[in-house]
Amino acid sequence: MPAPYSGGCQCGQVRYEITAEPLKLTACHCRECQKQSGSAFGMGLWIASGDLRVRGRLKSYTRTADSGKPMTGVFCPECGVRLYHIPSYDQDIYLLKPGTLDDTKGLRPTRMVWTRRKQPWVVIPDDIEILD
Amino acid sequence: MSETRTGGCQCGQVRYELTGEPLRLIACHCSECQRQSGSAFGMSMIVKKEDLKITGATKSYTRTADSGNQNTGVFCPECGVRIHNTPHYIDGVVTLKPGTLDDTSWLRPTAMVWLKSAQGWVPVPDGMKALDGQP
Repeated sequence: MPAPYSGGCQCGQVRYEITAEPLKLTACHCRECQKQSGSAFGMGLWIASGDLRVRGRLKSYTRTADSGKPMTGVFCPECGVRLYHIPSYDQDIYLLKPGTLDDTKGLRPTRMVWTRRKQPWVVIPDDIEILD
Repeated sequence: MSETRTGGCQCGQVRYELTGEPLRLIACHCSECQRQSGSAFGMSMIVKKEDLKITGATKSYTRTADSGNQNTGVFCPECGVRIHNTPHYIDGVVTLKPGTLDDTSWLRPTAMVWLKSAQGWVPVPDGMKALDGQP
């Protein structure tokens, strides 16, 4: 299905549209992504920042990544759902949390990163690039 | 006496201690868990309410499921990380989000549920119970 793609947080206070095709999709097993998701791994859908239209109130939180560079997480203040990350290393890119899309059926990450931090029970798909 | 496990949100404002053994751990592919996690599936660790001791300020949000059941999500207001959900329809338990534990290497879900709404790319591990819908 072509763009636009719609999505939002759990409570519905924040809604968004992605107006053009995403650039890539990764799954990340780092400890920060496990905490963010509360689950086994996080996902990042790379999009051009100009392609995201957001409605609703947002709150943000900035942490320093292991690299020493800041990473900002943007979330809904009413339900806490994380919507996207703004990496400081590329101002033109947002890493959208794709589980928040209304239709997630077509999602296929091409790369899994930080697999050395992986919860041991998670099975890695055959056709995915791995970076530990 | 079981060990005490610790965890917390990403910014560190909320911390918790989990005493006692978890009752159950499942991985859930329903659309609400996908939104909450922003990822492919959510995980729920069912623990006794009295075994979870939380420090720090939390905020909560209650939704009504299609079934009519209510569920309250409890999260850190500073970074948004969901710590647990409290189902209103089961007494005495909460569902901890186990990715927030400081050590996640011991986690072993026993079932994957709501596979009918799964993204479809995550393999179901051999020997794990797999259900199309609700457990």
